[in-house]
Amino acid sequence: MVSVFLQVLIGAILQGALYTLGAVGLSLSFGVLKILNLSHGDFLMLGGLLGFLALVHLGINPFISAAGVAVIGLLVGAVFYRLLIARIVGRSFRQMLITSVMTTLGVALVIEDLTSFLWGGGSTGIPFQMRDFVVGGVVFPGLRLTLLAGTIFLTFALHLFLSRTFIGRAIVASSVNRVGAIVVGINTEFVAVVTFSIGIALAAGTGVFYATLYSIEPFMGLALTLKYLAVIIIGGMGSLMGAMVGGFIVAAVEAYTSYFVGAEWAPMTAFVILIIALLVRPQGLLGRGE
Amino acid sequence: MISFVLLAGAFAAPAIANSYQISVLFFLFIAVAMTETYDITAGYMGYLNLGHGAFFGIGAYIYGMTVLRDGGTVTGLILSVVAAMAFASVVGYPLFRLRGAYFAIATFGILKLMEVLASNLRDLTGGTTGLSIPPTDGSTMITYYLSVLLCVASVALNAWFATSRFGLGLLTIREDEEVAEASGVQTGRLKLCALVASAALPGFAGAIYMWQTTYIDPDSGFGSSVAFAPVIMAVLGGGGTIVGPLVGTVFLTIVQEVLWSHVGYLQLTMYGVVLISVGIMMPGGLMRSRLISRLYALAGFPDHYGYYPSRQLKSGAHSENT
Repeated sequence: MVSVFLQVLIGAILQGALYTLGAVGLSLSFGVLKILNLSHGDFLMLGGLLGFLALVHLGINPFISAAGVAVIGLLVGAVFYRLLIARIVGRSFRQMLITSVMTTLGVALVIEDLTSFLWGGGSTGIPFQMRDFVVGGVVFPGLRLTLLAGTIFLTFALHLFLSRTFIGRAIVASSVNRVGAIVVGINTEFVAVVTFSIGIALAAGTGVFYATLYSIEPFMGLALTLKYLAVIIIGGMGSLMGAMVGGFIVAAVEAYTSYFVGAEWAPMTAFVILIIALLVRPQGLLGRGE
Repeated sequence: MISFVLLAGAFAAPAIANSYQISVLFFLFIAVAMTETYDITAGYMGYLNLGHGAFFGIGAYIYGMTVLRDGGTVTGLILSVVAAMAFASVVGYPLFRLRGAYFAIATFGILKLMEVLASNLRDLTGGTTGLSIPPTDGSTMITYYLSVLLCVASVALNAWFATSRFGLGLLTIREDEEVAEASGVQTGRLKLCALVASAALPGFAGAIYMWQTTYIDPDSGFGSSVAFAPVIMAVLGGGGTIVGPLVGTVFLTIVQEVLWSHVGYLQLTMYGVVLISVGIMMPGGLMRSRLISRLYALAGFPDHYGYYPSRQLKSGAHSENT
């Protein structure tokens, strides 16, 4: 019983770390830009697809290709921002919300449809295996543990970036108070580009990890984005800590629900927690008031 | 005047159109009703309700369950409307503690909850395989006329919100809720009433959808496409106006029909490109784009298709060209 409990917990921690890395970009770009990017999950899907192609055709280890995919994501994010998002930023809040939903939904549809057209509609995972080891009756899956180490390392690096470097602190400052950030001389336009690109890069890089564990398919993006939205709202928008708390809560409840209640109820839990969290603390568990 | 011509056309359509065209019109009218009612909360009140499709799904499921239990068509129709309104009033109270993006996402969360419930409560809803009811004779014609009525009712309801004191209250909430509350608008009650009012017709739409197609499953009742369609159509036409949602719906339905029947592949891509271009270039929707505004001015219409639907309260309903 205890070992089962632990087994599920290990899975939940890994899933939570993946949720954190995937969702934190969405959270930061909402914090800084007040833009709801519905195509976020599609970049995760694209990242996973690139990782898959890199392993199958070039034989590149997913842990290496994840870095490359993240760099590509950085560039794509900058281009995406310049082409589309920059034209939406600066409208009134309600206008921005509605037009960003519309535009990024359009982007999501284009990405999903083009991917399924060029690649075929099937689902696939990255065929990459590592050895498992057993300690005291608990199976520690090798691949999952390595991934866990990778995601924790990345989360920690991201934390250092946000708290120690100038640009990272500028991102946090713009997220807390945009006008205040402008007043103290932060180039919020540049900060916006960087935030958005980093978000896309993280999503794409996480996609490679995601695809080594689960299968990806062209039309998974939107559903994933919505789950990420639930994750970051539960934790509180605009911070790494918020994404982490939300990610682990959702992952843990999902894992235990699907084990003890039934897998068909798991998709619902994220939204149940979301609604409860919103009613108890509308600004998120760790969020600041408006 | 134009509205009478269109209405007469809609009623006369079955005489000249084939059954495929009738069903296209049927779905168009349902989409118009969804968009026009969605626009009450989103366009006038400024609360983006991404879960508007839930009312539709509830209407369809309740109608299906009633008919399967030999409740009869009329009872089914009444029950689905009542259920949708009851649902709106139950979820409305907690939801309206939230604002802005949080409200939007919470409404979407509720929709997803309903989707999972619909696929998991197998005894009631048939699970993921969906719910089927036996087809009835002549249902195509009856539901077609009902959809025409539904469409007219939704436009009339939207027009009432555009011109009434109640609707003006919603506008003040949209522009600045604190100021509205401070100047004596009972925002809480108003918001709840608006949500319940916007739920009734989608419930009915769901019921006649079920009646006509005799089949509903979680995806066609509560799926993301059902939820996003009114949002996109309203934004495209121009939210917070009477004609905007109608124009947006008709425009997008035509785009879809043309894409689906004339282009073999990449329809979703083109649909997405349409969305992106409208989002970038016409943030106020088609009805607020400069070209259309100028045409309106040339035609001598009053400028209430601008950013505010109407501020002329005394004159009552205008002659809309709907």
